[in-house]
Amino acid sequence: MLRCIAWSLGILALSLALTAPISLCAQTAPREGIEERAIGVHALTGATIIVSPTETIALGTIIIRDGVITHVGERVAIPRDARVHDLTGHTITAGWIDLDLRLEPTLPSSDASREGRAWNDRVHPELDIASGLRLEESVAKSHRTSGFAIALASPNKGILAGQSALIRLTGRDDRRTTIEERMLQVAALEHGGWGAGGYPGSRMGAIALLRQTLFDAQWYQEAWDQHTVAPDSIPRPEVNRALAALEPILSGEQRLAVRSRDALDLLSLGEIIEEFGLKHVIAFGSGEEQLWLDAIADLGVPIVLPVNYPKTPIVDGPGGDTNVPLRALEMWARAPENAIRVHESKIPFAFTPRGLSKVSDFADRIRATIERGLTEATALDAVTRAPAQMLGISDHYGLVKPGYAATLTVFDGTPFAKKTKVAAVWIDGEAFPVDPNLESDLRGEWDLTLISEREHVTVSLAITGTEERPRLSAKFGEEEIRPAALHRQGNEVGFTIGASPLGEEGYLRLGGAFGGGDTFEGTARTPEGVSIRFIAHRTATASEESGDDSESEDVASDNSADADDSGDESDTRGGRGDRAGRGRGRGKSLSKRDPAEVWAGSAEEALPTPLGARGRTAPPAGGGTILFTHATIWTCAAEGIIEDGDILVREGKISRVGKNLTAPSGAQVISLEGRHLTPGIIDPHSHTAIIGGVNEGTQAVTAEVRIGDVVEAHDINMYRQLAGGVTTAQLMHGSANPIGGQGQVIKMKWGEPPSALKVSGPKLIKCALGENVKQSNWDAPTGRYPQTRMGVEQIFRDAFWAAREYTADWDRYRASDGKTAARPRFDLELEALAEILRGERLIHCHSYRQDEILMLMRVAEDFGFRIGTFQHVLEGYKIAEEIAKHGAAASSFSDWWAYKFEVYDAIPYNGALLYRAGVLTSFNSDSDELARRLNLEAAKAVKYGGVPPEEALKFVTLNPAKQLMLGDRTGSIEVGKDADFAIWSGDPLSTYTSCEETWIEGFRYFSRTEEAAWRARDTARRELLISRILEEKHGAPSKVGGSAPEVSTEQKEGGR
Amino acid sequence: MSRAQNSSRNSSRRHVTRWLLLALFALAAGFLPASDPVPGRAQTGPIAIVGVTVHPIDRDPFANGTVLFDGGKITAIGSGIRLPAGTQVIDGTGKHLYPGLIAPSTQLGLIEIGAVRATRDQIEVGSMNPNIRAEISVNPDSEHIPVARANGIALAVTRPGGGRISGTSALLRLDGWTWEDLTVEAPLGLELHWPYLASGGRGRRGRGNPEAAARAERERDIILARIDETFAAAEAYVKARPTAASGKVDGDAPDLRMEALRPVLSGEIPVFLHAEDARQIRSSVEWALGRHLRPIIVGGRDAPLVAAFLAERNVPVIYGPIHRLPSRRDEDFSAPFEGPATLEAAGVKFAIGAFDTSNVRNLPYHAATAAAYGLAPEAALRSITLSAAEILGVADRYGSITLGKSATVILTDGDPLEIATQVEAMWIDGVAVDLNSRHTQLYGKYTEKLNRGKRVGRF
Repeated sequence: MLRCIAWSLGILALSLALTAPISLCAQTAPREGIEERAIGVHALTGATIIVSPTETIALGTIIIRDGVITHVGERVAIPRDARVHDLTGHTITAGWIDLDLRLEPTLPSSDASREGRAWNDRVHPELDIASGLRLEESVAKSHRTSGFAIALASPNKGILAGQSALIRLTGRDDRRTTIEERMLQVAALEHGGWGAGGYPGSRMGAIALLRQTLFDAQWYQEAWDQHTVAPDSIPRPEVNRALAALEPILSGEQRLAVRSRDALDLLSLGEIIEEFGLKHVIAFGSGEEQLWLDAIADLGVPIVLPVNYPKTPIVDGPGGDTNVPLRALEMWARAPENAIRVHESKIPFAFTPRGLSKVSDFADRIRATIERGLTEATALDAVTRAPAQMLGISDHYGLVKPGYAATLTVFDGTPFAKKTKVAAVWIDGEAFPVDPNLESDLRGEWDLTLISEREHVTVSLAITGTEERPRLSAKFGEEEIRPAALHRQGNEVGFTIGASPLGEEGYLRLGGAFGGGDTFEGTARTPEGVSIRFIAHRTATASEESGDDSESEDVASDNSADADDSGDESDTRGGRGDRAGRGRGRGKSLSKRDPAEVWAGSAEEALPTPLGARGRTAPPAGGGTILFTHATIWTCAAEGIIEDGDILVREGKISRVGKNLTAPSGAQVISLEGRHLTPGIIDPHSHTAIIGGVNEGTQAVTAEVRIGDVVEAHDINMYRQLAGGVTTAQLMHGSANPIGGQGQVIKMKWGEPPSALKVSGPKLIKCALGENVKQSNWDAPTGRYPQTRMGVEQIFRDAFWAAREYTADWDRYRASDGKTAARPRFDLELEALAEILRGERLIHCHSYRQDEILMLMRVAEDFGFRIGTFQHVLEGYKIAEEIAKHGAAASSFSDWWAYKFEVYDAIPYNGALLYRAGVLTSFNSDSDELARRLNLEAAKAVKYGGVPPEEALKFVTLNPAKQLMLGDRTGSIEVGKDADFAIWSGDPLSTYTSCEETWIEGFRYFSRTEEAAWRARDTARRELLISRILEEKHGAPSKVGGSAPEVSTEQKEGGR
Repeated sequence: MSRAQNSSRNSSRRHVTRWLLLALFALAAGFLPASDPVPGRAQTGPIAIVGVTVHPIDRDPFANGTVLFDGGKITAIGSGIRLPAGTQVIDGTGKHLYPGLIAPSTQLGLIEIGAVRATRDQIEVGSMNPNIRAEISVNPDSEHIPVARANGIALAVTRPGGGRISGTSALLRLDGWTWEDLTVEAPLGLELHWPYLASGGRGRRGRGNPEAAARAERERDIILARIDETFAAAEAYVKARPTAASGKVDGDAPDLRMEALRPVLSGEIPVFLHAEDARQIRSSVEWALGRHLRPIIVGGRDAPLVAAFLAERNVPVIYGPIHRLPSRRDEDFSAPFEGPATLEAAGVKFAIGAFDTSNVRNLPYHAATAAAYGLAPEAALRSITLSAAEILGVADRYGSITLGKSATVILTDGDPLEIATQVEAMWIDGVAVDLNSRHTQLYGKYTEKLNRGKRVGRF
């Protein structure tokens, strides 16, 4: 069967029929010129054939007929009509496959009609890369040069980017690039920045938009079905090709690829995959998978791994190393181990060169990983069989077997070995010699004869330098000719030398093609513009290079690498691009150890979580049954303060509280002699550990976005806050819009992945009033409605009306038989608003002035619900009774004021007055720094207004727990609650007190003693990695007695 | 007329509630809001605080002491002192007397509301502004001044910001009718912001990026050259015009910038070198000493890392804020807290700054945090009193309760480094100061609202 254009939407139906030779494929275009009828039968002989990653034929032959492999073996008869290619000394593998080639799609112009398209510019799943596909020859060539024969090309932008196509890397504009279109759909969490590029402006916004679009696609299908069945009563839905294009994704008929920029991106996408039950998903990875390996392995999704390892951090030179964090050093050190750990976790994976500034670095990077312990067979699998399997084309690609496509990669040595280069790739039976100069080491001594009509003049050339960067010097007799420069482009070689041998002034420009061997012919143009022929013979080959040359070249090449790297995609991780000196000849003077030796065992080490400073390598202490004794216990409960009290913890819960408790058998007993124990500090207003933007500030109402989607777990501020006794926090959306996003309560379980931090249950949402939402303090307000407090009120009323209508629509639909009422869209934004109206989701509202606070309470009362908590609420004291009467809680700063006009009346007595009025009151930080000492903020309620100390402590423990809907789970030392507490050196309200330990659910997540040990561990690790960088850069230092590399005092001091 | 007064006057139930109100105010915080705090009257006769625990700072505290002051100066200190006739006696039984606290780096009086441009006067245009004088722009009616005072801050440095040379700062006493009343010392020192030197530029993206590093280094070199050139030009100017232009307007027109640098070059006033990074600190100090200036490091985040360097050169540090995040991911969570202990151990002279204006009232708690993390409590207290006075060059008058020094003292019910402690009274240069503020006024006003609502308090 012959199918040049396969119109197969479903992968399950996809049978990629392998075809007759390309040249026989019917062309629709009128023929131009004379048809080529090249021989389609080839015999590749004398090569080592790696049939599959586990099967090798040491010396064999491959027969290709019309694009398909017909025979592979040691003894294979060569057909009479075959063209024979002697590949002695070469190795042949299946043609390499790059699954992550991103191409610029042709997008509709910004003023194009929206008819049939999604409302959002980043959603264009209907876009088809195969239509108008443009693969630049330079891109194709650089891929072929690195061994890749075919690729999956996908549109390089969009949250739903569009359809990708399997393509041949021929680089020809002959309408035969595409092998198979619509191979898969691509999704990514793309977003603009703060105030740029419209919705979404944050990662959480991108997640919400992706989810909403998938919900819309479900709705679209059903809406049309409904209309078709009952055209008279159900109105005709809009025609939306974008939503239609997603149907095969939802039904599992088409593959979906998800793109991730970091490990957390992938985890977020994983949740969406699960939510929508998406099948046939592959992931385009980030290279960071090892950071949260277990969670990623749980996704069960094969991953395409990039190898754009971070650039070697700068640790010496004038700057010193003080500002390079251990995490950046670790990212550099561990990057090559990512694939190994992924493989160990049994996650299927493929490699892609995507993100490398130079695709030609690909093999070097893979070799770095092989040096860490990946087998060559696994590496090869990851560019041949594994990607073919991921794409469902493993019946035809990925192996060297009869019946498979004659898509091969030919190496001049062992793949991935240091000096090995790609000789050719074969694509469906057609050879693409990659780099004709592969065997064209020009170096050596040459006699070059200029053949003019008058005379023959012979010039001696000496070509030195490296194979890739040869240098020329020329002599005429004993006389040095200047200048003498050599340029090469592929197999085209040019010289420019002085014209003195011809007795002329000026330059001779010589050019010709060099095909290897020891002769070289071409044409020279004299200064007078006359063309004459030349021929050159090699008289001696070059010996291996001296160290000096390569050393000086490294300087130059490092510079150029820097320039190239500016577009490198690994940019966001701080270090970028090239690993110093990898794969380049360094001077012989450097005594360098084999990287495999330097990094031996590294890939088997368990990575600290999170990677970098204070990462955890073992589970936290604790668990089981523990009796804490002899503490001053601030229960924040009916028992008040218990002097010399005990707490029994069982399986993460507080089991008994009292005095003189006896330890059950097997219990661990921890004496807290003289120390104070309080409930863990709870920060009801935090922006710690959020990735990809705190605000989705592009619209006035963004109730659909969820902070829970963008919790990260490597924010060092979590650890710093643990050191201040904090166990729980509400991570909040920012205050850029009246109705912001949904909040997420977390526990500070440092070292655990994001999903383990999240506390399920509380349903909260951020709202905001005043100067921020009306953009009062912006240099250039956008003009987005609202710009006044009056407009803010109307936004709320309008949004809540919309939610009522939405609820009514659903009620009507549910009450109908599906024929009389149309199914409403499932709208994430209105769902959240409807939850507010039902009282299931509590508003936490950023607010300052009394007028706006009163306003929102009245709006809520009109719609029949109560505000949960007013945040900041700095003029709350002016309407404390009104707040109490409404039933809202208050969470305030203790003493911040005067940073903007609406806080000019803020007073530190706010908390006390609210408390006195009977409002459930807490203090919060809204700051990574302040969060570290919220116990002292509580003391300010004692100072300003005389709140009793025990009650003041509740401002940062029990009261916020209640505000976060967790009053029955945490916030006090009571039987049955989570064992979340902090241990203090003294009175927790004293400024002289410090936090010694922090426990969450019966496990110790912080202690001063562990901190000291980790401090020492991290310093040692830092020094080790820095010494490795310096060794890689400068060679091993001389032995004692010689001159050691200079270490500046700065580094010593800074390494503290 | 204050809001509190107003609302009270408009109330029809004024007479009924007055006594209740007064009682409640007194109960709640021991204050009685009358009007905007009025500057105190100059001391007219001797005042003695008796039976008090005295914390002189320059020697050990002692209980049951007497401190007598007259004409703004401390005239006697000890126990069982005979008081002159007509002495106003204040019973300090159960209370504590400390010198007034000194905030060594604020912008009090120069900035009122951060987000409102019209209320900001702390940054002039241009990068070389040695002639800018902080004191002349201080608003004596700034609401921030009484707020700071309420927690025991009696003296504060206010400084211009922005550019490289921001101008000269002034030491203020926090009570008075005019900026001239407020000014204790001006010019106090030249505020100079040293460029950031760490390679790789700032921020996550900049680090380890050689291009950014090279760019940053070029920019830095240009700035360094400009700073040095300014001082070289000033030296030439001083040489050419050895006599300072008098304040009077006569003779040749002076170069205002160069004239302003005259006392800096002569060593009469120090240079406040704002520097955080270790390299910034080292290079700025070496430069200043090379030019025979008197450097004082301000900010000094990395000063603990180069403590020996600073100690050897006898360069003091105004260190802070203590309440800040570690600047590097790898640093100990407690690095900013432990800085003062490290400086103390290395023998570096230091004062602790809060580097805040609206909340400079929290200065004692910054010092306390240093004490929670290794600094002796006495040293913490000294760092916001006598050490600050020494570094600012006013220790002959301020910073301790010492015979002959200014009677600038606070009377408290406990350790001022503890948050719950209340400052009950303050004298600056013998003048009794009103400790009310916008905050206590609003507190009073809305306590009244709460009480009228007949809602019974929970305590």
